[in-house]
Amino acid sequence: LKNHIRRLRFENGELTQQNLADRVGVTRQTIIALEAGKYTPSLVLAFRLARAFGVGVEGVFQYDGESAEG
Amino acid sequence: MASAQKQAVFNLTIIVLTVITVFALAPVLGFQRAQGGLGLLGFLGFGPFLFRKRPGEVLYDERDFVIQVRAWVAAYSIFWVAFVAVCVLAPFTFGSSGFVRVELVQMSVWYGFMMVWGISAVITLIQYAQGGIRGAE
Repeated sequence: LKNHIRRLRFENGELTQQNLADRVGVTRQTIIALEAGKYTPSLVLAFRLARAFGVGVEGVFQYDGESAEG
Repeated sequence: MASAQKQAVFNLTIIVLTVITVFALAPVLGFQRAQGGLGLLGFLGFGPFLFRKRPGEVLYDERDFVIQVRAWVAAYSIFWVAFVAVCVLAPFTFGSSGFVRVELVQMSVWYGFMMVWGISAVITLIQYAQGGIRGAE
């Protein structure tokens, strides 16, 4: 699961990791882990992040796995 | 450092200090009386008060929760394996119709407690050191 959190932070007024963390109700360490691709968020957190950036969930996260239609 | 990480360091420090105290007292007081040092484990109860949340601050979130759950599950699993191994191997030490002293049974509760909390703290720290967890993808 790839994400565009780092890019979106800079496109949204250069939000700091701490500011974003405060907005979505997590710790800064979790934002760091997300940006590094080391943590897959819950669906609720994914929606909170998308809402914080004013985009849809697919605007923040991108699933690179095999297609379900296979 | 995350709050849960600080608490894991705190717990591990208390456990290590307890073990050191017990083994330092043993030559002086005898092994049985030295078990009084296990009372230091009571300091584990102060952990939640030391790492309290300040207003408006997020100290603990879903990632910390998942890390802690995994650490406790792993700790109890390892304890259970060790417990079964001890029970299975006990006849080789005490004989199949041997006896175990009540003191030993009582002590095993405390050492089991230390083992679970210690392993949980170590696994928590390992997960944070690895940068996090991947979760279910």
